[in-house]
Amino acid sequence: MEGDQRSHGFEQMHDGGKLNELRKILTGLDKEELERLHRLMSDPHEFAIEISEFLPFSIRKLIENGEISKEELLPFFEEVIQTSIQKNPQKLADILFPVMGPAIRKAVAEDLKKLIDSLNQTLESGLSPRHLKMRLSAGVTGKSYAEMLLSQAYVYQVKQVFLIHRNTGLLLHHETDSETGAYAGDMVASMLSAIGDFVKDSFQSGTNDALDTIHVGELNIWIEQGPHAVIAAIVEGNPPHELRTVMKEAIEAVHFNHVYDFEKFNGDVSAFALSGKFLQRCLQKQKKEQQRSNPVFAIALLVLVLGVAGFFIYRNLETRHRWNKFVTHVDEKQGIHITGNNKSGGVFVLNGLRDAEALNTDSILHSFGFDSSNARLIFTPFISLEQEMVVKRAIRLLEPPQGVLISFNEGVLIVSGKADAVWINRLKLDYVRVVGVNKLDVAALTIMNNLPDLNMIIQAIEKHRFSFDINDVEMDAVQKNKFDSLTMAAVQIGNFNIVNHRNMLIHVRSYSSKAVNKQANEKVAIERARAFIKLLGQAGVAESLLKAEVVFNEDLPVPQPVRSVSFNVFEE
Amino acid sequence: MIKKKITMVGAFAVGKTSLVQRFVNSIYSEKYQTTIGVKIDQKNLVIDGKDVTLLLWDIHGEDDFMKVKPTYLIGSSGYFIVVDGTRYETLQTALQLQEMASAVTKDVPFIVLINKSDLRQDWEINNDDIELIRKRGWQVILTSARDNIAVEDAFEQLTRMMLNQ
Repeated sequence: MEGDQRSHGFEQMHDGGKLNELRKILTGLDKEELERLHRLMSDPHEFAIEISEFLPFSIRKLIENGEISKEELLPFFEEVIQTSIQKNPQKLADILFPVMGPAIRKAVAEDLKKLIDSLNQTLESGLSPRHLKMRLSAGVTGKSYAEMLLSQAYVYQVKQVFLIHRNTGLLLHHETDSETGAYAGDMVASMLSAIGDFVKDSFQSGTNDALDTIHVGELNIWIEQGPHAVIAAIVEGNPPHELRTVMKEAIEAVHFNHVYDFEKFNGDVSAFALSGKFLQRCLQKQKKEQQRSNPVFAIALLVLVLGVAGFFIYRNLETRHRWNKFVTHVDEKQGIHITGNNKSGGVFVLNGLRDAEALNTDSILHSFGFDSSNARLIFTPFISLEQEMVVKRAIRLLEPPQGVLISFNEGVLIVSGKADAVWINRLKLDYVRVVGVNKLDVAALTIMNNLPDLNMIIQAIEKHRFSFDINDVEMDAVQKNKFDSLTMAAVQIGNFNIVNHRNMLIHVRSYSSKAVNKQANEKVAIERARAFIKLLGQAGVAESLLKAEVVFNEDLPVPQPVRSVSFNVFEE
Repeated sequence: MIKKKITMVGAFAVGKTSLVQRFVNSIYSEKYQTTIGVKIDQKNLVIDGKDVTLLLWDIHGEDDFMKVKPTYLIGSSGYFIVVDGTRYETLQTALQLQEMASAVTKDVPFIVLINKSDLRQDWEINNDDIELIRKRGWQVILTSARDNIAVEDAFEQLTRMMLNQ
């Protein structure tokens, strides 16, 4: 009723030209435009059609401006769909029918492919020792054989994932497994695109068919198509089919989040950096469980190697330690000075200085378990002024008798004890020969006079007489005993001279005769006397004490046996 | 980062691969190797302060036995039509390819490269022919991959045209 009245009023205004003119001035709209607005206001259906033209654009602008988020819209759509299904499931089924058919077919085809792959794999290697072992393990562990088989089969690693713009083949983004180096992503993406184009052209495949797998040696390239972009995953090994699902979800997520980026794409790929998080989900891997072999032999070998190595290391260390101990020991000895210690060609070499009086280093070396095969001692002779060395040197040169002690302190040779006058006299003469000694201290040395009486010595000498055959000076056993007794007495005469500063001489008298040939007899006699002196000299009697003499019986008041030798002591 | 796909089209043996190799790797080889299918190279440029990565699709040359597949041109932001100045028939091929490329790429920028300008004395294409091409509103550059004449200029010019589109 109200509508009719409004319509009637409108006609009246229509008729009124002036009123129309006034209306146009006021509103800026002519009659047709106002009528159209009126129709829209009065007819909701027409109004809805009008709004539907720009409503999607308005929603898009609202989303772009961030005034409405997709997350806010999502529950609304979910609720609407849920309500629709609850009210009339057939309606949605009818809507989805064109989509569900191919989707179901594809899902079934992929499951069949998976089943066939699995069967092929099982048939190919089901009777191998490895798989028989798997069956046995399955029985022991309670797992199904299929489970065991799958656990062995799905060993793979997604090394790189590329997001490629479908139309241009340009690489939008790519993610790489951190363990592997990146390929030249742009080139790979373009080549994959070119291969896809080539396949499509060459095999005249339909628009919905696309390349989804490429095998390159041990690498598989799995490609998942989207309306604007594709994901290509470079996979090493044998990936499970679940990877496909992950890739599908990733490409869907990329499209959902970059729908406007795809629409206005002009080559600028920077916006697609945000798709990295979706691509990273595809970087999956499953490491093959390492086959555990019996480690007994490996352990035994390791122990053996370690044992041998340990033995050699120990022996080397022990030898080195022993050598160092030897060097320290030698270095501590007086008369030895170490100047170098090294190892050359497996032989220890010790360089140093050694006094002749020092200990025998060879015997020390042997006592430490070394010999010429593994050690070499190179000593340069030197004269040590160390106390012990000077004392040793003095003992060797001075030959002190028993009861005499020799010590050395700061250049002074200190001799103490008791010694006979002969030795003491020699000491006073000879101590200067001892290198390092500057002074002699004999304050604590007492003279032990053990020389017999001179007359007794003279008697002991003069009582001897040796008789020889013609031209003979050799002594028999009896004469040799007598000769030793003579020698001792003769030495005592020498000592007497030294102690008493006397000059007693022993005249060796060789008796002869002037008969027949005096000169020849005299010659033989003097030779015999000289031969005797020589014998006494060899026995230790100083020849300066002895004097050869020929005595003719014709000159004596009492003749003596010719070819005999007697001894007389006189002081010169 | 801006990435652009450029496609090289032309008759066989006009020097498409040589131009790409000269531009990308600064090399030229006298040895002729025919391209089978497509070969892709990459070159990074800075044009007017913008980093641009060019993906160069070097497509096999068209002859009587092998036609250029339009799918290789899909998604190109620009393309070169390469002509061999010493062979007049390559210009005819170029005109046919331009029709196809224009339809596939929806009128993206392109430049006609008349190559082998180092052999100018042997050219069958004369200045009148070149003038006729230019009268179509097409940009023409005379290049030599062998002597490196105007190669970089051509690529940079096409890149600018693509960026300004």
